[in-house]
Amino acid sequence: MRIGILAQNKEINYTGINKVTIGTVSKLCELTDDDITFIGRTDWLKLDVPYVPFVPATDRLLLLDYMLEDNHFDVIHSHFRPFDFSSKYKCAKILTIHDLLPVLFPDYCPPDYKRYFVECVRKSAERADAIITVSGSTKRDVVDHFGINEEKIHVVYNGLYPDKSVEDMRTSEIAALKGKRYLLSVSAVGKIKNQPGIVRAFADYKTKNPDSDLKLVFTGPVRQYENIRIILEDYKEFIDDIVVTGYVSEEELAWVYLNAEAVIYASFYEGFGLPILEAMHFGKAVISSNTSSMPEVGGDAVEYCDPNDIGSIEEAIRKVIDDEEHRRSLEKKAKERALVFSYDRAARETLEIYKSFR
Amino acid sequence: MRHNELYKIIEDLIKPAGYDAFKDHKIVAMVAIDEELRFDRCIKAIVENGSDILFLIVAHARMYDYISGKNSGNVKVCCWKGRYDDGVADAIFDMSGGANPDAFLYFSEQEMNRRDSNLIHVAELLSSKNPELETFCNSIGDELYRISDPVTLDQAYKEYDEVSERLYRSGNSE
Repeated sequence: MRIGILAQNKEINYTGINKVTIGTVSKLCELTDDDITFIGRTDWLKLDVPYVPFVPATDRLLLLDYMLEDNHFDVIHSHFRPFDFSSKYKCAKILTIHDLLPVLFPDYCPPDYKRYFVECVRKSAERADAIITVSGSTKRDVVDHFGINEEKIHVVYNGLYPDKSVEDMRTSEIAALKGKRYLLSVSAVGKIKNQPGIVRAFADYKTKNPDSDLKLVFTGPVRQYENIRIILEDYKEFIDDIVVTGYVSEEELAWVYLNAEAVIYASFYEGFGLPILEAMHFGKAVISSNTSSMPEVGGDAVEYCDPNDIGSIEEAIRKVIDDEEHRRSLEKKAKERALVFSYDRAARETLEIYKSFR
Repeated sequence: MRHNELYKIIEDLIKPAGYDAFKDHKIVAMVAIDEELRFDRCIKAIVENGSDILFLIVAHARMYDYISGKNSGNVKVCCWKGRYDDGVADAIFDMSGGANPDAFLYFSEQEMNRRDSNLIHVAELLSSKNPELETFCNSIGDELYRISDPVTLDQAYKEYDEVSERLYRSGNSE
């Protein structure tokens, strides 16, 4: 069987969806002798997988007919980009949908992207033979908002990439954080991630606990820095307690997780919520939103909060930071919970879906 | 033309380049959409190879304050809102004060992306005033690519889309 993979955009700093692609495809290559080929260049993914020529377009439904005239596939699986081809090709179409953010939170997305997503992803989903969602929550969203028959939607959870045990991971210290007690937030900067809510709740906590030496650390890629500037402008008195590291290497990320007092992820909406899983893998107590997919990932190993309620976020911070016994209990549960998710499992489940089209 | 043949033409038009490609350039036009740090790294790499360059920067509204507050002297910047259409070339010519840019650089997510065809068209318009103009794409990872013939690339992208669309329609109607 020849399997074609359409990946997400080029990235050098691997985050979210590209981690899912690398994690799943590298395990797939170990599990099967089937021919796995990328559609379009992906040398930046550092996977030893061949590719067929294809010019991507990140603003439209990708029509693959021209490419299929010269290249045969039995299955084409897009990890993000909406695609289609005419019915004359005997090839299964599989589309992974990570979330329905532009449908559910249109005000949080640029208009062009919203149009692209609503029109193109919806059409691709309707035309797909199978859809993979990364959580049951996203599956429900796809059924409810795209009207897709739930029988063709398969839930395949994300895993951890790299999938090394904590003991085997190389770490690299961030000098500015050495010896500091900090609450860690790992994500890109964006309205949906609720950084202002986290800062406000942290500021409330610090106001109520003026002797606390706790700091708040934001780690992750920052594209539009004015978002961070606007947040910090309103909290100048806490400027020394809030650290923005920007994107960090895998080794530095491991270090910031390992040395964090706890991790907070108070996003309004997620299709999965990879940082929750990463934090649990490092045995950290996690404060997470009680919405969308996040309870599905965190199970009973997480302290939940309402991301729309600053008081709820602040209360969760207080419980996790001030109650050491509670924090230790969450840390213990977190390690066990993280074992549920792996790309080995994801690849096996994905392969079963491919095989159903043999 | 077969798909793989057309792709070979496209691939041959876009080749990796080093930032020393700017060492002989005097006026570099740029379109800066977002990612301040990536923009800074790119400017730094260019200036290291040609310190007397005049930059004409069309900046997205969210980048405008950052760029105009940080740079002066050899930088002219204008604020841009909306789609990056042919008006970008007019804005560059307005800033140039009659002198034609000899290089054009835009930022992209990929070294090749049909989404950028509007910027390729801007390169075509700038080339019409200066046939010696060189076009560059800064791809994620600070990699630099030189587009050797934006006119042909634009035609190839159009051919690519037209054939794909035609095959898609005829295949679905069979």
